[in-house]
Amino acid sequence: MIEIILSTIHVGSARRVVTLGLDGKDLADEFLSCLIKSDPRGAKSIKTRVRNIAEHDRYEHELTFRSVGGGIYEFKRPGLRLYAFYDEVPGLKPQLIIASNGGTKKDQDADIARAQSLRASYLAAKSQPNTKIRLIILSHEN
Amino acid sequence: MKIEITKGSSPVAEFFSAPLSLEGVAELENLKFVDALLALMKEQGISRVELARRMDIQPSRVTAMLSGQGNFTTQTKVRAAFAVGAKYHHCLAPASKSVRWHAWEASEVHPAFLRAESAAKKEADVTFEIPALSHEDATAAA
Repeated sequence: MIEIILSTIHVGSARRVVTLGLDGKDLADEFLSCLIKSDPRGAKSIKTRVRNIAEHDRYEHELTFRSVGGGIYEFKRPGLRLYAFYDEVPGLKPQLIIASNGGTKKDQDADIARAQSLRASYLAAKSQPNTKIRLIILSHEN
Repeated sequence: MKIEITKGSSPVAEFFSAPLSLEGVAELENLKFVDALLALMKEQGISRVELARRMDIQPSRVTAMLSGQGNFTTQTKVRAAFAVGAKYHHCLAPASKSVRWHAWEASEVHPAFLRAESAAKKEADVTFEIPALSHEDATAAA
């Protein structure tokens, strides 16, 4: 059985933002964990963008959250990128922004390709009947 | 597909779900301003270079402003608003109260629904004079 783990990091009025765990790895969580320690200012800036975008049903802002192709969007702060995509899970409100991975501007092309590959793997896994999605909600959520 | 929901916590989730710092709130307000500015630029086909020309600043400063970074002044916001034919509004309200902004064209709304105008009429210092019935009118009425 395939297991997808979606770990909530923020719940906005329109979208829940989660990190994607596949094959026992959560690259977005790893990236953000490192960022919080190594660049707290940058992490806070990404947090502000996540907050802003989770309030919109569909949001595109060419400089802070823009499409980079293949269904992938980037949360953008000078020098930093967090890659994500939209998805909907039946019966789950609010719907999702799934953060797949992140990186610096320097590794942008490889990171975008990785994000596209993670999205494709997630969608393929989700379409399998024996897949289990484990959604981890925040400890203070009802 | 089976969905299982569990509660959990991680350093990343705790960081993202904690209230925004004052700097974060300020950055979020900047992003909201930039969202509105970009929408007006898009609506009117104004490029970043054109906005810079209208604001009489370097295009690089416009790019920095549109990325939501930095702490741009009220004067910059007013100038940006003016450059796209808009007016900059701000509001200060107790944190316990909700605030809702609504922009409309007065000509598109029936006067009865214009709250400000109705209130102005209600408070206006107007007296109505009803002329006494003339002898002929009183006779006709009888």
